[in-house]
Amino acid sequence: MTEISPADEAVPVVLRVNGTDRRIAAEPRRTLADALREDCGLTGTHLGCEHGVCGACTVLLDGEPVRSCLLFAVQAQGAEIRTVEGLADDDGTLHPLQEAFWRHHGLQCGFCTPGFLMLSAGVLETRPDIGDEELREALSSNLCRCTGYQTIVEAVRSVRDAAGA
Amino acid sequence: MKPARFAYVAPDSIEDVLDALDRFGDEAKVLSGGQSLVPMMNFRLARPEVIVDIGRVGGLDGMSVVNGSLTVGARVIHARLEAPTGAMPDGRTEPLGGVLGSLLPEVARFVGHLPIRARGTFGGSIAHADPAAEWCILARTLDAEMVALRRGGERVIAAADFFETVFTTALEPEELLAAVHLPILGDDWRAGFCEFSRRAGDFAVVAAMTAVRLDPATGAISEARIGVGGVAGVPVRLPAAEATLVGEVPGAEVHAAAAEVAAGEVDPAGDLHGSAAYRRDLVRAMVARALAQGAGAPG
Ligand SMILES: Cc1cc2nc3c(=O)[nH]c(=O)nc-3n(C[C@H](O)[C@H](O)[C@H](O)COP(=O)(O)OP(=O)(O)OC[C@H]3O[C@@H](n4cnc5c(N)ncnc54)[C@H](O)[C@@H]3O)c2cc1C
Ligand code: FES
Ligand code: FES
Repeated sequence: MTEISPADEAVPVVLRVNGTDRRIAAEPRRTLADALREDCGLTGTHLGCEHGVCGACTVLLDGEPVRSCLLFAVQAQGAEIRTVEGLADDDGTLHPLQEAFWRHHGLQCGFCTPGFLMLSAGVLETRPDIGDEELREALSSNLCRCTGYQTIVEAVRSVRDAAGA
Repeated sequence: MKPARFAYVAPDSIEDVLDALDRFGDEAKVLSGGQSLVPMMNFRLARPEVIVDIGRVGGLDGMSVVNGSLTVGARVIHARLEAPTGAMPDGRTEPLGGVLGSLLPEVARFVGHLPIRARGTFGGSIAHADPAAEWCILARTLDAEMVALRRGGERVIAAADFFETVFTTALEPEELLAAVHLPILGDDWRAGFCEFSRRAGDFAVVAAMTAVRLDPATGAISEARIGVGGVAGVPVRLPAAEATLVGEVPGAEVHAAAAEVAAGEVDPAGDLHGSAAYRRDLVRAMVARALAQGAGAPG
Protein backbone atom coordinates (compact mmCIF):
# COMPACT_ATOMS: atom_id res chain seq x y z
CA MET A 1 0.00 0.00 0.00
CA THR A 2 1.12 3.56 -0.66
CA GLU A 3 3.23 5.34 1.93
CA ILE A 4 1.43 7.52 4.46
CA SER A 5 2.83 10.84 5.64
CA PRO A 6 2.11 11.21 9.36
CA ALA A 7 0.20 14.28 10.47
CA ASP A 8 2.79 15.81 12.80
CA GLU A 9 5.92 15.37 10.75
CA ALA A 10 7.34 17.70 8.15
CA VAL A 11 8.10 15.70 5.03
CA PRO A 12 10.53 16.71 2.29
CA VAL A 13 8.72 18.49 -0.52
CA VAL A 14 10.20 19.78 -3.77
CA LEU A 15 8.37 22.69 -5.34
CA ARG A 16 9.29 23.98 -8.78
CA VAL A 17 8.67 27.72 -8.50
CA ASN A 18 9.42 30.13 -11.33
CA GLY A 19 11.75 27.58 -12.88
CA THR A 20 13.76 26.84 -9.73
CA ASP A 21 13.48 23.76 -7.51
CA ARG A 22 12.83 24.67 -3.89
CA ARG A 23 13.47 21.94 -1.34
CA ILE A 24 11.41 22.48 1.78
CA ALA A 25 10.07 20.41 4.67
CA ALA A 26 6.33 20.73 5.18
CA GLU A 27 3.62 19.05 7.22
CA PRO A 28 0.87 17.67 4.99
CA ARG A 29 -1.46 20.44 6.17
CA ARG A 30 0.84 23.19 4.87
CA THR A 31 -0.99 25.02 2.09
CA LEU A 32 0.91 25.94 -1.06
CA ALA A 33 0.30 29.61 -0.20
CA ASP A 34 1.96 29.23 3.20
CA ALA A 35 4.78 27.14 1.75
CA LEU A 36 5.51 29.86 -0.81
CA ARG A 37 5.38 32.64 1.75
CA GLU A 38 6.91 31.02 4.83
CA ASP A 39 9.21 28.35 3.44
CA CYS A 40 10.29 29.89 0.14
CA GLY A 41 10.24 33.52 1.30
CA LEU A 42 8.09 34.48 -1.69
CA THR A 43 5.69 36.85 0.02
CA GLY A 44 4.33 38.30 -3.20
CA THR A 45 1.53 35.75 -3.06
CA HIS A 46 -1.01 37.27 -0.69
CA LEU A 47 -3.57 35.65 1.60
CA GLY A 48 -6.93 37.29 2.09
CA CYS A 49 -9.75 34.93 2.92
CA GLU A 50 -8.04 31.51 3.00
CA HIS A 51 -11.18 29.85 1.71
CA GLY A 52 -11.11 30.33 -2.03
CA VAL A 53 -13.25 33.43 -2.42
CA CYS A 54 -10.92 36.43 -2.84
CA GLY A 55 -8.24 35.18 -5.24
CA ALA A 56 -5.41 37.17 -3.62
CA CYS A 57 -3.44 33.91 -3.45
CA THR A 58 -3.80 33.06 -7.16
CA VAL A 59 -0.72 31.39 -8.71
CA LEU A 60 -0.26 29.46 -11.93
CA LEU A 61 -0.12 25.69 -11.62
CA ASP A 62 0.98 24.17 -14.92
CA GLY A 63 -0.23 27.35 -16.61
CA GLU A 64 -3.72 27.53 -15.07
CA PRO A 65 -4.67 30.09 -12.41
CA VAL A 66 -5.52 28.33 -9.13
CA ARG A 67 -6.14 29.30 -5.50
CA SER A 68 -2.96 28.45 -3.60
CA CYS A 69 -4.87 28.56 -0.29
CA LEU A 70 -6.93 25.55 -1.42
CA LEU A 71 -3.99 23.38 -2.36
CA PHE A 72 -1.55 21.60 -0.06
CA ALA A 73 2.13 21.94 -0.85
CA VAL A 74 2.45 18.14 -1.04
CA GLN A 75 -0.10 18.16 -3.87
CA ALA A 76 1.86 20.66 -5.92
CA GLN A 77 4.97 18.46 -6.24
CA GLY A 78 5.87 17.82 -9.85
CA ALA A 79 3.94 20.82 -11.14
CA GLU A 80 5.31 24.06 -12.60
CA ILE A 81 4.34 26.82 -10.20
CA ARG A 82 4.55 30.47 -11.19
CA THR A 83 4.15 33.36 -8.80
CA VAL A 84 4.15 37.13 -9.17
CA GLU A 85 7.90 37.15 -8.43
CA GLY A 86 8.42 35.39 -11.75
CA LEU A 87 6.68 37.99 -13.91
CA ALA A 88 9.30 40.71 -14.27
CA ASP A 89 12.60 40.04 -16.06
CA ASP A 90 15.74 39.48 -14.00
CA ASP A 91 16.92 43.00 -14.87
CA GLY A 92 13.75 44.44 -13.36
CA THR A 93 11.92 45.11 -16.63
CA LEU A 94 8.24 44.82 -15.81
CA HIS A 95 5.98 42.25 -17.46
CA PRO A 96 3.53 43.89 -19.91
CA LEU A 97 0.69 43.20 -17.46
CA GLN A 98 2.55 44.92 -14.61
CA GLU A 99 3.27 47.84 -16.91
CA ALA A 100 -0.40 48.02 -17.93
CA PHE A 101 -1.72 47.85 -14.35
CA TRP A 102 0.57 50.77 -13.55
CA ARG A 103 -0.44 52.78 -16.64
CA HIS A 104 -4.21 52.16 -16.26
CA HIS A 105 -4.31 52.59 -12.47
CA GLY A 106 -5.26 48.94 -12.06
CA LEU A 107 -4.14 49.06 -8.45
CA GLN A 108 -4.48 51.25 -5.40
CA CYS A 109 -3.49 49.53 -2.15
CA GLY A 110 -2.04 46.65 -4.15
CA PHE A 111 -3.19 43.84 -1.89
CA CYS A 112 -5.17 42.08 -4.62
CA THR A 113 -2.67 42.87 -7.37
CA PRO A 114 -0.46 39.75 -7.33
CA GLY A 115 -3.58 37.62 -7.59
CA PHE A 116 -5.03 39.68 -10.43
CA LEU A 117 -1.70 39.65 -12.28
CA MET A 118 -1.39 35.87 -12.11
CA LEU A 119 -5.05 35.38 -12.99
CA SER A 120 -4.63 37.68 -16.02
CA ALA A 121 -1.33 36.09 -17.05
CA GLY A 122 -2.89 32.62 -16.99
CA VAL A 123 -5.97 33.77 -18.87
CA LEU A 124 -4.09 35.63 -21.61
CA GLU A 125 -1.48 32.90 -22.09
CA THR A 126 -4.05 30.14 -22.51
CA ARG A 127 -6.75 32.24 -24.25
CA PRO A 128 -5.01 35.08 -26.12
CA ASP A 129 -8.13 35.89 -28.20
CA ILE A 130 -10.50 35.99 -25.23
CA GLY A 131 -13.53 38.23 -25.90
CA ASP A 132 -14.47 41.23 -23.77
CA GLU A 133 -17.39 39.47 -22.09
CA GLU A 134 -15.37 36.35 -21.26
CA LEU A 135 -12.51 38.48 -20.00
CA ARG A 136 -14.81 40.35 -17.60
CA GLU A 137 -16.21 37.04 -16.46
CA ALA A 138 -12.71 35.63 -15.90
CA LEU A 139 -11.66 38.72 -13.95
CA SER A 140 -14.75 38.40 -11.76
CA SER A 141 -12.92 35.45 -10.15
CA ASN A 142 -10.97 37.77 -7.84
CA LEU A 143 -11.95 40.53 -5.43
CA CYS A 144 -10.59 44.07 -5.23
CA ARG A 145 -11.75 46.46 -2.54
CA CYS A 146 -10.20 49.59 -4.04
CA THR A 147 -10.30 50.05 -7.78
CA GLY A 148 -13.88 49.29 -8.78
CA TYR A 149 -12.46 46.78 -11.30
CA GLN A 150 -12.92 48.90 -14.43
CA THR A 151 -9.25 49.95 -14.49
CA ILE A 152 -8.18 46.33 -14.03
CA VAL A 153 -10.34 45.28 -16.97
CA GLU A 154 -8.85 48.09 -19.08
CA ALA A 155 -5.30 47.14 -18.15
CA VAL A 156 -5.74 43.49 -19.10
CA ARG A 157 -7.65 44.37 -22.25
CA SER A 158 -4.84 46.65 -23.37
CA VAL A 159 -2.30 43.84 -23.04
CA ARG A 160 -4.56 41.46 -24.96
CA ASP A 161 -5.01 44.06 -27.72
CA ALA A 162 -1.31 44.92 -27.91
CA ALA A 163 -0.40 41.23 -28.24
CA GLY A 164 -2.97 40.70 -30.97
CA ALA A 165 -1.97 43.84 -32.91
CA MET B 1 -7.51 29.99 9.09
CA LYS B 2 -5.28 26.95 8.79
CA PRO B 3 -6.45 23.34 8.68
CA ALA B 4 -5.93 20.96 11.60
CA ARG B 5 -3.24 18.29 11.28
CA PHE B 6 -3.91 15.26 9.12
CA ALA B 7 -1.99 12.28 7.80
CA TYR B 8 -1.71 12.23 4.03
CA VAL B 9 -1.67 9.50 1.46
CA ALA B 10 -1.71 9.91 -2.32
CA PRO B 11 -2.15 6.49 -3.91
CA ASP B 12 -1.63 6.11 -7.64
CA SER B 13 -4.14 3.35 -8.24
CA ILE B 14 -7.84 2.95 -7.55
CA GLU B 15 -7.11 -0.26 -5.67
CA ASP B 16 -4.80 1.50 -3.24
CA VAL B 17 -7.40 4.24 -2.72
CA LEU B 18 -10.01 1.61 -1.88
CA ASP B 19 -7.58 -0.11 0.49
CA ALA B 20 -6.91 3.17 2.28
CA LEU B 21 -10.61 3.98 2.57
CA ASP B 22 -11.28 0.48 3.85
CA ARG B 23 -8.52 0.76 6.42
CA PHE B 24 -9.33 4.20 7.79
CA GLY B 25 -13.13 4.24 7.43
CA ASP B 26 -14.74 7.41 8.70
CA GLU B 27 -11.40 8.84 9.88
CA ALA B 28 -10.52 9.40 6.24
CA LYS B 29 -11.73 11.89 3.66
CA VAL B 30 -11.18 11.73 -0.06
CA LEU B 31 -9.45 14.84 -1.42
CA SER B 32 -10.16 15.54 -5.06
CA GLY B 33 -10.11 19.13 -6.34
CA GLY B 34 -10.17 20.48 -2.78
CA GLN B 35 -12.40 23.39 -3.76
CA SER B 36 -15.04 22.49 -1.15
CA LEU B 37 -13.14 20.26 1.28
CA VAL B 38 -10.15 22.56 1.85
CA PRO B 39 -12.29 25.64 2.66
CA MET B 40 -14.15 23.48 5.19
CA MET B 41 -10.84 22.26 6.62
CA ASN B 42 -9.49 25.82 6.78
CA PHE B 43 -12.59 26.81 8.74
CA ARG B 44 -12.11 23.63 10.79
CA LEU B 45 -15.63 22.59 9.95
CA ALA B 46 -13.97 19.42 8.71
CA ARG B 47 -11.11 17.78 10.65
CA PRO B 48 -10.30 14.51 8.91
CA GLU B 49 -7.56 12.41 10.51
CA VAL B 50 -6.42 11.08 7.16
CA ILE B 51 -6.59 12.64 3.72
CA VAL B 52 -6.69 10.24 0.79
CA ASP B 53 -5.66 12.38 -2.19
CA ILE B 54 -7.05 10.91 -5.42
CA GLY B 55 -5.32 13.52 -7.60
CA ARG B 56 -2.61 11.07 -8.69
CA VAL B 57 -4.90 8.19 -9.57
CA GLY B 58 -5.19 7.35 -13.26
CA GLY B 59 -8.40 6.18 -14.85
CA LEU B 60 -10.85 8.47 -13.07
CA ASP B 61 -10.93 11.34 -15.54
CA GLY B 62 -12.37 9.78 -18.67
CA MET B 63 -15.54 10.75 -20.50
CA SER B 64 -17.08 8.13 -22.73
CA VAL B 65 -20.30 7.47 -24.57
CA VAL B 66 -21.68 4.00 -23.91
CA ASN B 67 -25.19 2.62 -24.45
CA GLY B 68 -26.97 5.95 -24.66
CA SER B 69 -25.24 7.46 -21.69
CA LEU B 70 -22.26 9.68 -21.09
CA THR B 71 -20.01 8.33 -18.36
CA VAL B 72 -18.22 11.17 -16.62
CA GLY B 73 -15.26 10.11 -14.48
CA ALA B 74 -15.27 11.52 -10.95
CA ARG B 75 -12.00 13.42 -11.55
CA VAL B 76 -13.19 15.31 -14.65
CA ILE B 77 -12.68 18.99 -13.78
CA HIS B 78 -15.51 21.47 -14.25
CA ALA B 79 -13.54 23.28 -16.99
CA ARG B 80 -13.61 20.19 -19.22
CA LEU B 81 -17.40 20.26 -19.21
CA GLU B 82 -17.30 23.75 -20.73
CA ALA B 83 -16.32 22.00 -23.98
CA PRO B 84 -17.23 18.36 -23.37
CA THR B 85 -15.79 15.56 -25.47
CA GLY B 86 -16.47 11.87 -25.25
CA ALA B 87 -14.69 8.70 -26.28
CA MET B 88 -17.09 7.10 -28.72
CA PRO B 89 -17.76 3.33 -28.89
CA ASP B 90 -15.34 3.09 -31.85
CA GLY B 91 -12.55 4.61 -29.75
CA ARG B 92 -12.43 8.04 -31.34
CA THR B 93 -12.76 11.09 -29.07
CA GLU B 94 -15.21 13.65 -30.38
CA PRO B 95 -16.86 16.82 -29.16
CA LEU B 96 -20.09 15.82 -27.47
CA GLY B 97 -23.00 17.02 -29.61
CA GLY B 98 -26.73 16.84 -29.13
CA VAL B 99 -28.88 18.14 -26.33
CA LEU B 100 -26.56 17.02 -23.52
CA GLY B 101 -23.56 18.38 -25.42
CA SER B 102 -25.06 21.86 -25.45
CA LEU B 103 -26.54 21.65 -21.94
CA LEU B 104 -23.27 20.78 -20.15
CA PRO B 105 -21.32 23.93 -21.20
CA GLU B 106 -24.36 26.08 -20.49
CA VAL B 107 -24.37 24.76 -16.92
CA ALA B 108 -20.58 24.53 -16.40
CA ARG B 109 -20.03 28.26 -16.72
CA PHE B 110 -22.16 28.82 -13.62
CA VAL B 111 -19.95 26.60 -11.44
CA GLY B 112 -17.78 28.97 -9.42
CA HIS B 113 -15.05 30.95 -11.17
CA LEU B 114 -12.38 30.02 -13.69
CA PRO B 115 -9.72 29.05 -11.09
CA ILE B 116 -12.31 26.96 -9.21
CA ARG B 117 -13.25 25.22 -12.46
CA ALA B 118 -9.58 24.48 -13.14
CA ARG B 119 -9.29 22.34 -9.97
CA GLY B 120 -12.78 21.36 -8.82
CA THR B 121 -14.21 18.11 -10.13
CA PHE B 122 -17.59 16.87 -11.30
CA GLY B 123 -17.45 13.92 -8.90
CA GLY B 124 -16.36 16.13 -6.01
CA SER B 125 -19.36 18.33 -6.55
CA ILE B 126 -21.72 15.33 -6.62
CA ALA B 127 -20.09 13.79 -3.49
CA HIS B 128 -20.11 17.14 -1.67
CA ALA B 129 -23.89 17.42 -2.33
CA ASP B 130 -24.48 21.11 -1.87
CA PRO B 131 -28.22 21.51 -2.51
CA ALA B 132 -27.57 24.50 -4.78
CA ALA B 133 -24.73 22.90 -6.76
CA GLU B 134 -25.36 22.91 -10.49
CA TRP B 135 -24.10 19.36 -11.09
CA CYS B 136 -26.27 17.99 -8.31
CA ILE B 137 -29.34 19.64 -9.86
CA LEU B 138 -28.36 18.22 -13.24
CA ALA B 139 -27.85 14.73 -11.80
CA ARG B 140 -31.23 14.79 -10.06
CA THR B 141 -33.10 16.25 -13.04
CA LEU B 142 -31.67 13.80 -15.57
CA ASP B 143 -31.86 10.78 -13.20
CA ALA B 144 -28.12 10.20 -13.31
CA GLU B 145 -26.58 7.04 -11.85
CA MET B 146 -23.59 7.17 -9.52
CA VAL B 147 -21.02 4.39 -9.61
CA ALA B 148 -19.56 3.72 -6.17
CA LEU B 149 -16.57 1.43 -5.64
CA ARG B 150 -15.38 -0.20 -2.47
CA ARG B 151 -12.79 -2.87 -1.84
CA GLY B 152 -14.11 -5.90 -3.66
CA GLY B 153 -17.39 -4.37 -4.75
CA GLU B 154 -19.30 -1.92 -6.86
CA ARG B 155 -22.83 -0.53 -6.73
CA VAL B 156 -24.83 1.89 -8.80
CA ILE B 157 -26.96 4.43 -6.95
CA ALA B 158 -29.84 6.32 -8.58
CA ALA B 159 -29.84 10.09 -8.10
CA ALA B 160 -33.18 9.90 -6.28
CA ASP B 161 -31.55 7.75 -3.59
CA PHE B 162 -28.10 9.34 -3.67
CA PHE B 163 -28.74 12.81 -2.25
CA GLU B 164 -29.93 12.38 1.34
CA THR B 165 -29.70 15.82 2.91
CA VAL B 166 -27.40 18.87 2.95
CA PHE B 167 -23.80 17.69 2.29
CA THR B 168 -24.92 14.09 2.87
CA THR B 169 -25.12 11.31 0.31
CA ALA B 170 -25.67 7.56 0.26
CA LEU B 171 -21.89 7.04 -0.14
CA GLU B 172 -20.33 5.07 2.73
CA PRO B 173 -16.96 6.21 4.15
CA GLU B 174 -15.33 3.17 2.50
CA GLU B 175 -16.73 4.07 -0.91
CA LEU B 176 -15.20 6.03 -3.74
CA LEU B 177 -17.42 7.73 -6.28
CA ALA B 178 -15.79 6.57 -9.50
CA ALA B 179 -18.08 7.89 -12.22
CA VAL B 180 -21.53 9.22 -13.04
CA HIS B 181 -23.71 8.04 -15.92
CA LEU B 182 -25.73 10.81 -17.56
CA PRO B 183 -28.40 9.90 -20.12
CA ILE B 184 -27.66 11.33 -23.55
CA LEU B 185 -30.89 13.09 -24.35
CA GLY B 186 -32.12 12.25 -27.84
CA ASP B 187 -32.86 14.91 -30.43
CA ASP B 188 -36.52 14.93 -29.38
CA TRP B 189 -35.53 16.44 -26.03
CA ARG B 190 -35.22 20.15 -25.19
CA ALA B 191 -33.31 21.19 -22.08
CA GLY B 192 -32.78 24.50 -20.32
CA PHE B 193 -31.02 25.82 -17.24
CA CYS B 194 -31.38 29.10 -15.42
CA GLU B 195 -29.92 30.31 -12.14
CA PHE B 196 -30.01 33.37 -9.97
CA SER B 197 -27.04 34.34 -7.81
CA ARG B 198 -26.03 37.67 -6.30
CA ARG B 199 -22.60 37.79 -7.94
CA ALA B 200 -21.06 35.94 -10.85
CA GLY B 201 -19.59 32.65 -9.66
CA ASP B 202 -21.50 32.46 -6.39
CA PHE B 203 -23.57 29.46 -5.51
CA ALA B 204 -27.13 29.86 -6.81
CA VAL B 205 -29.81 31.24 -4.54
CA VAL B 206 -32.21 29.29 -6.75
CA ALA B 207 -31.49 27.39 -9.96
CA ALA B 208 -33.77 25.34 -12.19
CA MET B 209 -33.20 22.78 -14.90
CA THR B 210 -35.89 21.56 -17.25
CA ALA B 211 -35.94 18.82 -19.86
CA VAL B 212 -38.97 18.02 -21.98
CA ARG B 213 -39.44 15.39 -24.64
CA LEU B 214 -41.54 16.29 -27.66
CA ASP B 215 -43.77 13.96 -29.63
CA PRO B 216 -42.43 14.36 -33.18
CA ALA B 217 -45.92 13.94 -34.68
CA THR B 218 -47.85 16.46 -32.57
CA GLY B 219 -45.13 18.65 -31.07
CA ALA B 220 -46.72 18.07 -27.67
CA ILE B 221 -44.68 17.27 -24.56
CA SER B 222 -44.63 13.54 -23.82
CA GLU B 223 -42.24 13.58 -20.86
CA ALA B 224 -41.16 16.43 -18.58
CA ARG B 225 -38.54 16.90 -15.89
CA ILE B 226 -38.10 19.90 -13.66
CA GLY B 227 -35.34 20.00 -11.06
CA VAL B 228 -34.72 22.86 -8.65
CA GLY B 229 -31.87 23.65 -6.27
CA GLY B 230 -31.73 26.09 -3.37
CA VAL B 231 -35.15 25.31 -1.91
CA ALA B 232 -34.45 22.23 0.25
CA GLY B 233 -31.60 20.15 1.68
CA VAL B 234 -31.24 18.33 -1.64
CA PRO B 235 -32.02 19.23 -5.23
CA VAL B 236 -35.70 18.39 -5.77
CA ARG B 237 -37.90 17.31 -8.66
CA LEU B 238 -41.31 18.91 -9.01
CA PRO B 239 -43.70 16.18 -10.17
CA ALA B 240 -46.87 18.30 -10.06
CA ALA B 241 -45.35 20.97 -12.27
CA GLU B 242 -43.93 18.27 -14.55
CA ALA B 243 -47.41 16.75 -14.90
CA THR B 244 -48.97 20.05 -16.03
CA LEU B 245 -46.60 20.07 -19.01
CA VAL B 246 -47.36 16.60 -20.35
CA GLY B 247 -49.70 16.69 -23.36
CA GLU B 248 -49.20 20.43 -23.92
CA VAL B 249 -47.41 22.13 -26.78
CA PRO B 250 -44.57 24.32 -25.39
CA GLY B 251 -45.32 28.03 -25.32
CA ALA B 252 -45.27 31.03 -23.01
CA GLU B 253 -48.66 30.29 -21.42
CA VAL B 254 -47.92 26.63 -20.85
CA HIS B 255 -44.54 27.53 -19.33
CA ALA B 256 -46.08 30.15 -17.06
CA ALA B 257 -48.70 27.71 -15.83
CA ALA B 258 -46.07 25.09 -15.01
CA ALA B 259 -43.90 27.72 -13.29
CA GLU B 260 -46.87 28.76 -11.15
CA VAL B 261 -47.42 25.17 -10.02
CA ALA B 262 -43.67 24.85 -9.38
CA ALA B 263 -43.68 27.91 -7.12
CA GLY B 264 -46.52 26.38 -5.09
CA GLU B 265 -44.88 22.98 -4.97
CA VAL B 266 -41.63 24.00 -3.23
CA ASP B 267 -41.37 24.66 0.46
CA PRO B 268 -38.22 26.73 0.90
CA ALA B 269 -36.88 28.03 4.19
CA GLY B 270 -35.80 31.65 4.34
CA ASP B 271 -32.22 32.55 5.18
CA LEU B 272 -29.67 35.33 4.85
CA HIS B 273 -29.72 35.05 1.05
CA GLY B 274 -33.47 35.26 0.58
CA SER B 275 -36.78 34.83 2.41
CA ALA B 276 -39.04 31.86 1.69
CA ALA B 277 -41.39 34.05 -0.36
CA TYR B 278 -38.50 35.46 -2.38
CA ARG B 279 -37.19 31.97 -3.15
CA ARG B 280 -40.67 30.92 -4.23
CA ASP B 281 -40.76 33.88 -6.64
CA LEU B 282 -37.35 32.88 -7.93
CA VAL B 283 -38.54 29.32 -8.55
CA ARG B 284 -41.40 30.70 -10.65
CA ALA B 285 -39.03 32.89 -12.67
CA MET B 286 -36.22 30.34 -13.08
CA VAL B 287 -38.52 27.49 -14.14
CA ALA B 288 -40.27 29.68 -16.73
CA ARG B 289 -36.95 30.89 -18.12
CA ALA B 290 -35.40 27.42 -18.25
CA LEU B 291 -38.45 26.16 -20.15
CA ALA B 292 -38.30 29.10 -22.57
CA GLN B 293 -34.58 28.56 -23.11
CA GLY B 294 -35.15 24.89 -23.88
CA ALA B 295 -37.97 25.68 -26.27
CA GLY B 296 -35.77 28.02 -28.25
CA ALA B 297 -32.78 25.75 -28.61
CA PRO B 298 -33.56 22.74 -30.77
CA GLY B 299 -31.05 19.89 -30.63
C1 LIG C 1 -15.15 30.52 -4.42
C2 LIG C 1 -15.86 29.25 -4.73
C3 LIG C 1 -17.04 29.29 -5.45
C4 LIG C 1 -17.70 28.11 -5.76
N1 LIG C 1 -18.87 28.19 -6.46
C5 LIG C 1 -19.54 27.06 -6.78
C6 LIG C 1 -20.75 27.11 -7.51
O1 LIG C 1 -21.24 28.17 -7.91
N2 LIG C 1 -21.38 25.93 -7.78
C7 LIG C 1 -20.87 24.72 -7.37
O2 LIG C 1 -21.47 23.69 -7.63
N3 LIG C 1 -19.72 24.65 -6.68
C8 LIG C 1 -19.05 25.78 -6.37
N4 LIG C 1 -17.88 25.68 -5.66
C9 LIG C 1 -17.42 24.35 -5.22
C10 LIG C 1 -16.66 23.62 -6.33
O3 LIG C 1 -17.53 23.32 -7.39
C11 LIG C 1 -16.03 22.32 -5.87
O4 LIG C 1 -15.12 21.98 -6.86
C12 LIG C 1 -16.92 21.12 -5.71
O5 LIG C 1 -18.02 21.41 -4.89
C13 LIG C 1 -16.18 19.97 -5.04
O6 LIG C 1 -15.33 19.33 -5.95
P1 LIG C 1 -13.81 19.08 -5.57
O7 LIG C 1 -13.26 18.19 -6.62
O8 LIG C 1 -13.15 20.36 -5.35
O9 LIG C 1 -13.98 18.20 -4.26
P2 LIG C 1 -13.26 18.26 -2.84
O10 LIG C 1 -13.33 19.63 -2.28
O11 LIG C 1 -11.92 17.64 -2.94
O12 LIG C 1 -14.20 17.28 -2.03
C14 LIG C 1 -15.52 17.66 -1.67
C15 LIG C 1 -16.18 16.51 -0.89
O13 LIG C 1 -16.45 15.40 -1.71
C16 LIG C 1 -15.72 14.25 -1.31
N5 LIG C 1 -15.23 13.62 -2.54
C17 LIG C 1 -14.63 14.27 -3.58
N6 LIG C 1 -14.41 13.41 -4.59
C18 LIG C 1 -14.88 12.20 -4.17
C19 LIG C 1 -14.95 10.90 -4.77
N7 LIG C 1 -14.51 10.70 -6.02
N8 LIG C 1 -15.50 9.88 -4.07
C20 LIG C 1 -15.97 10.09 -2.81
N9 LIG C 1 -15.94 11.29 -2.19
C21 LIG C 1 -15.40 12.33 -2.87
C22 LIG C 1 -14.64 14.76 -0.39
O14 LIG C 1 -14.27 13.79 0.56
C23 LIG C 1 -15.31 15.96 0.24
O15 LIG C 1 -16.16 15.54 1.29
C24 LIG C 1 -17.19 26.85 -5.34
C25 LIG C 1 -15.99 26.80 -4.63
C26 LIG C 1 -15.32 27.98 -4.31
C27 LIG C 1 -14.05 27.90 -3.53
S1 FES D 1 -6.71 33.70 0.12
FE1 FES D 1 -6.98 32.17 -1.36
S2 FES D 1 -8.79 32.81 -2.31
FE2 FES D 1 -8.66 34.24 -0.68
S1 FES E 1 -6.03 47.56 -5.06
FE1 FES E 1 -6.67 47.42 -3.01
S2 FES E 1 -7.73 45.53 -3.02
FE2 FES E 1 -7.35 45.83 -5.10
